Amino acid sequence: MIFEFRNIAWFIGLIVAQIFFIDYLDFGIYSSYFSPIIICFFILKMKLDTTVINLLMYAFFLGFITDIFRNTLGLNTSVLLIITFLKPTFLYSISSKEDIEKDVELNMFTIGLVRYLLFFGISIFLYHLIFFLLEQFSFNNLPILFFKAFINTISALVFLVFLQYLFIFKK
Amino acid sequence: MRNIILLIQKYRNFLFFLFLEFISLFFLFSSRNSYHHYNYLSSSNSITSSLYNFQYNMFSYFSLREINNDLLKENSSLKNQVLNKDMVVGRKFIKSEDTIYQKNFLFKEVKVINSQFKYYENFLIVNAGKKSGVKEKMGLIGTKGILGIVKNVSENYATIRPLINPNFGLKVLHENTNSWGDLIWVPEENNYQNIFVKNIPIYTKVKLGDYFITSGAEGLFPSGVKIGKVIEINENIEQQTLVIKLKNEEDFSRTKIGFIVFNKTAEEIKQHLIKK
Repeated sequence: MIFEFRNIAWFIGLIVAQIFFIDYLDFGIYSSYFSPIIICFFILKMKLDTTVINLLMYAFFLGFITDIFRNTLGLNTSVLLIITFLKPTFLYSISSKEDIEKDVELNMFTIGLVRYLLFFGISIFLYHLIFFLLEQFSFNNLPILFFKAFINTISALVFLVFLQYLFIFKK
Repeated sequence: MRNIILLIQKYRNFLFFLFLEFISLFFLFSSRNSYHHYNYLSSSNSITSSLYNFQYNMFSYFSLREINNDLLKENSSLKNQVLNKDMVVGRKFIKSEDTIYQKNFLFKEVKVINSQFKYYENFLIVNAGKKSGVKEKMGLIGTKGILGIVKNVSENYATIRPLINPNFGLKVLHENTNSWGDLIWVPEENNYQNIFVKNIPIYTKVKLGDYFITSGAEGLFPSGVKIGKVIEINENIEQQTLVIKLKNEEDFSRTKIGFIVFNKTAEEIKQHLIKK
């Protein structure tokens, strides 16, 4: 029950942080390079024994609600679904199956900082890259897209570290 | 038959993924490619807008000084016109006692409760909707220049497609030479502070610091509203046109107030546009 409540809080909290805080950050003329998306943290942090069907459902609704607020109907949803489906692939490409316990939430305190940076880094980078490609719907300006995805990945990772220190960290 | 069921059971995760992905891609492409917009699935619906409104009410206090300054400036320029007893109609001034003169445009003041400015496709939300008589394809101007065109309307809110959206298109005039051009925002090359004007003949004498203004041709805006100041001029030799970069008059990162343009002759103009 407590677990459920915490999940709901994360679900709503991430959407609120994304839409009413991160989307409002203003960096002058560099703003167009800076639009990190952190909602995928909800999917990436889920325990490994969560069924894929459940994960896909969460991803669908999480993306859908965010899309309605940002007027990008279907964009976040489709990318989030892809990332959800590829999550095990990313995770097992950086660690063996025995390394990570199945009933533990994935965050920087449970899997370690290096694995956090690798696993979350790869997933969030790919999220941004697919997102920008789908948004633009062409392969023009690929170097700029890669650069944008890279910058946004780093800023999202840093922001998520703050969030985890605030809400997960226990002595 | 049994094998088929076994196959579905085996790949049920993947099939479910494909199913949801298909739905989301359907949403993505149908909302982009068709004119049938999802009114209830955009930020102008009542739930999302009221949340944005709540946030606006909480944070608008902090920008009161800027809003005040903008309004003061606008007030002073309006006062100038009133004291001179002239009314602005188009680019020429006519006396207000003129009997032929008929009021053409009405303005309704609105608050911009959400302004996106850093994405590929940006939108604004304003706190006026069907109840206030706002309809699709009406213009929105700010205190300094034009902001955008109404895209979606719900009961109390409306979504605006601003200048800084690749799907925004408008014919504009060069103030000094009256040459026509097309206003285009290219997300890869522009940020929210600038915009391109293309298809102006290469022989047009455009100088840095000149202004581009609305033409008023489509009835969306009164003519003569400023759009931006020229900051860069390039020549496209192949097409014999100029590519001009403007600095937007409006700052979309901190726009808070606007005016919806009601055109009394909108229907009349529309008939002529269709005939063409």
